[in-house]
Amino acid sequence: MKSSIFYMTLVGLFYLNACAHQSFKTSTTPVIEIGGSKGNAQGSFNEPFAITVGNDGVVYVADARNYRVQTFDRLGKFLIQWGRQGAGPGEFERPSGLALDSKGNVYVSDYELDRIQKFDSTGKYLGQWGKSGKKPGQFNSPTGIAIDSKDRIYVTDTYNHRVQKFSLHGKFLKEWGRYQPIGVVRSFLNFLWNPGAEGNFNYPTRIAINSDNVVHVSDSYNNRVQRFSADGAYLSQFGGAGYFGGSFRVSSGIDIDKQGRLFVADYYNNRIQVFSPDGDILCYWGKQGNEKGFFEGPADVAVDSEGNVYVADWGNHRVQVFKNMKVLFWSAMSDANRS
Amino acid sequence: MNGILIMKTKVSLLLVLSLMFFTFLFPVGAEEQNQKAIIKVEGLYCPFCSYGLEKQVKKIKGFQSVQINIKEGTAEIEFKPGVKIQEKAILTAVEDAGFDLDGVQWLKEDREK
Repeated sequence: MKSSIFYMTLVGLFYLNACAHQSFKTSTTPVIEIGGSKGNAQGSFNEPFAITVGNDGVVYVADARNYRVQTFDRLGKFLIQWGRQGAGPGEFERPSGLALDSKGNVYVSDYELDRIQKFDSTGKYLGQWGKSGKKPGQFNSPTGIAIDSKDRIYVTDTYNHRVQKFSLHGKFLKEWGRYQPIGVVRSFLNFLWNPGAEGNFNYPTRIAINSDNVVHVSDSYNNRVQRFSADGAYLSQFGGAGYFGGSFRVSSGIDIDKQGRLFVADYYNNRIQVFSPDGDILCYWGKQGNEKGFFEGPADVAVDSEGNVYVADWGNHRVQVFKNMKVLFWSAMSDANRS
Repeated sequence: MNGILIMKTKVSLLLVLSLMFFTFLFPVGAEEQNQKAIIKVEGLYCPFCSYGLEKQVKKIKGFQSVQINIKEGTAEIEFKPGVKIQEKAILTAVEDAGFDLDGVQWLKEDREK
C-alpha cells in the first residue's frame, strides 16, 4: 500500500485537484453565491466545529461559539436548535463533536467541560457523563464521537491522546493510545519507511467507524489516519505530513460513505481528500479562501446515505454542501435563496 | 429639633469630607481599569489549538475574557481589576494547552507586579 500511496502522491502532484471525474458525483462546481458571515441568528454560525448527518437526512451542526446545536434538512433549511452557554444540563461551553445512535439520539462532546451529553432528536436532554481528568472515563478535551453497529461509543480524548470506548449509557469499556508525536520529516517521508508510533497519538481529533466496525482515528498532529479493530488493536495507517494528494497538514474531520470510501478534512491544506477503503488517495478538492468550494479551516466532514458531502467550514462560518455537482452555502442564507 | 438637624448635617458633612480625603489618598481609578495582556503563542493556528488555549487561560485567577486571533497567533487576555496576575500563571496555561509562549505584552503599564 505504501508504494501505492507514493505513486498516487506523485500523480496527485500533476492531476488530482477535483473529484468530478471519479465514479461518484462530487464536485466543487458552485451553484449558489452566498458568502459565509458570522452570526447567531438561526441558520448562521459562529465557528461551526462539528457536523454529522442522520439516515433521515437531518444534518446536525455544533455551532461552537454560539454554544448550540443546529439542525437542517439536506437543502440547508433550518429545523431546530438547542443549547446555550453554561455548564448545566443541556448547556455548552464548546460543543466539539457529534454522533447519532441507532435510535436517533444525539451525543455531543464538550471540549471545555470535558463531558458527553446525550439528547433525543428534538434536543431534549437525556443525560451526561465525564469530567476533567486522565483516569478512565474522564476527559481532557473530548472531540470526535463515533458509534459502531453494536451501539458502542468511541471518543477521541484529544488532550489525553487516547481513544475511549463506552456503552450507550456512558459506562467505560476500554481505552487505548498515549502521546507519541512523529517528527515532520519522518512523517513526510513515510513512503520510505514506517513512521512508527503505531497505536499512539498526537492530538487525535475526529473518529469514524465503517460498516465492519473498523475504527478510523484522525491522528491530527501526526498527520495521518490510523485504523483499529473495535477492541483497539492497531490495523494500519495512511497519510503523512505534506502538501501532495494523500498527505495532510493536520488531518481533522473524517467520515465514511456507504461504499467505504473515506472523506478526510485536511485542515491547513484547506481541502477534503477522498480515500479508498484501503487508504489509497482517490481525489481531493478545495483550497484556502472564502469563495464557493474553498475553505478556511475545514474542521469536520460528514457524508449522507446519498453521497452528499457536508463540510464545517470553520473560519468562513458556514457549512458547504457538495451535492451532485452543486455546492450549497448555508450561512446567512435566506429562505428565498434556498428555494 | 433644630439641634438634632444641625448634628445630622455635621455628621453628613464629616462623612463626605472623609470620603473625599481617602479617595485622594488612595485613588482606585487605575485599579478599576481592566488589565490586558497580549500573548504570542507559537503554533496557535487551528480551532483545536485555540479552544485548548482558551480552556486553560480561563483557569487563571482573575480571568475575565479572551480574544484569540489565530491568524496572528495571539491571544488578548483581559483580567479583572485589582487582581495580581503572575506571568507564571500565563506561562503554565500556555504550556498546559500544549504550546510555547513567545512573549507577553501588557497593555497597561501600571499593572501590579
